[in-house]
Amino acid sequence: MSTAAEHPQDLTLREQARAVAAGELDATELLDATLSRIEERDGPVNSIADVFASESARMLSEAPEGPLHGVPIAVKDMFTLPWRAPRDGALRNLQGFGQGESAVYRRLRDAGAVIVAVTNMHEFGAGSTGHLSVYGPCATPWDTSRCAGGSSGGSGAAVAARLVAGAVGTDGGGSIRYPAAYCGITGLKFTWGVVPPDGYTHGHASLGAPGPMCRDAADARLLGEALAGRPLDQRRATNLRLGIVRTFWEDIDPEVHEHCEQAIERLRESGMTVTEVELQGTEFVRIATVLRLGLEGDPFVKSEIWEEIQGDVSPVGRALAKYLSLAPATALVRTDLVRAQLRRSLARAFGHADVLAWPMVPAPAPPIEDPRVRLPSGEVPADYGNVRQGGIGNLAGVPALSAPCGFTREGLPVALHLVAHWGEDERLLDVAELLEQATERRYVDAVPPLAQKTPA
Amino acid sequence: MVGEDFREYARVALGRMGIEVDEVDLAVMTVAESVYGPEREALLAADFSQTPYEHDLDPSRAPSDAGTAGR
Repeated sequence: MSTAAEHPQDLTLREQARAVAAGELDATELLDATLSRIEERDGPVNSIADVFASESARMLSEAPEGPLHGVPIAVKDMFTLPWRAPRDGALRNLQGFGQGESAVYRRLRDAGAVIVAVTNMHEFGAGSTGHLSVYGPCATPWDTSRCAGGSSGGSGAAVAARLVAGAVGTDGGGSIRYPAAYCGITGLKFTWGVVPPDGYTHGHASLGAPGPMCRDAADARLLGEALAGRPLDQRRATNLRLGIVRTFWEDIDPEVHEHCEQAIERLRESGMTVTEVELQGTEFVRIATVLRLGLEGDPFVKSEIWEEIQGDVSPVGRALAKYLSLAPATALVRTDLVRAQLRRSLARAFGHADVLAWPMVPAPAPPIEDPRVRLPSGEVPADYGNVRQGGIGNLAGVPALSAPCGFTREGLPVALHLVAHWGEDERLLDVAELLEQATERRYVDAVPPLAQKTPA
Repeated sequence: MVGEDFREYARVALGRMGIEVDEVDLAVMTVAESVYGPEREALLAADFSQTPYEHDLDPSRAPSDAGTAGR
């Protein structure tokens, strides 16, 4: 492999790790080049909230040998770091987290990685678009007038723009998978509990899980192994059964629908058995996700912090926080019944299929200025459309992945949503890799216009 | 609940909690209610009499009472 002719951040994560380990790429030069690229290229996407060159350099100097030795990784603004308190996309986090060693920090450190940046995110993690943040809106590198997604939009955009080859996101209602879809990268939400929750601002909740966001499934496997602290073994996917849940194929943008149907066909041609499965309780996925996501955090919010910073919270964020206070407790209790129904139904479905599939988001990335999407049933807020597609992974706790599978005529990414049985996170990576092979890596190797323009 | 009825309800209910609301809050909340209110009402009206609670809910694993033999 020659690295002289290309910027090191044009390499994949695994190529960077291999080159550093082989002595072909100097880790200090890699870190410097990464910081330079962030400085040169991030402006139009606004994916990076903070860099800290001296702390990154210290982390590199102390980095143990490991699978990610010397490789720069960006993390969402939700984790304690020894030198920085998380802010949750706001002036301060509401739970009172300070500096510290989050589990994500420890696992990256122990794998030899270097945390190079903290990424932008939707304010308090409360949105699927990423257009609201104390750091300003975050854009997809595929069209910088459009949303990067949320809430892990900065992680998605940073990887897609090739500022870093790997980033950590979190997913409490689809927040890794929506930006992965909008930015054309691969995002994995682990089974709930795979990564310990300490030092994660929403770690108290029963929905959220950190996970890897990378250009392709092989990189997501490498970063995912570091985060999970266990191997995510690769197995043949061609003999797996793919379950189609038709409910989640309804009211989808026609172009998105077509690309996802084609992806299913490619997987079928590659050897997977495709079957239709039904799930119960799907009509309440959206409202149950919104209620739980909005209310689970409330008991941990320190009112004095809220009082102090609410003047700097977006008007929409402030109003929605108040709106959730109106939700009747009976509705929240009923979400437990929705979860029970969905979880039992999913468990039965996994008796007939190994992996379930449907479109990740119902429409491509909406404009930052007006984040609504046009569906066959009419125009709706992007959040409203997205949460129906992704919330089931959080309500049930199952692993779920967003895999690139096409581009619209406007050049915006389209993604397929894959969902697996509890604890079978690696099966999703296996199927995503099969899809990459079946589509000759057209979608995971595509480079956004913004990343083509800037000289290396 | 829609329109002025909802605005009045929000103003009074949040006021009793000591939460002040302004016109921007009410405008955003009215839109949110128009989007999510019908689904919340459907959830409240749904018949879950045949759905037992999952008393040992653990999101990291399959439900213990779903008949997942063979996995």
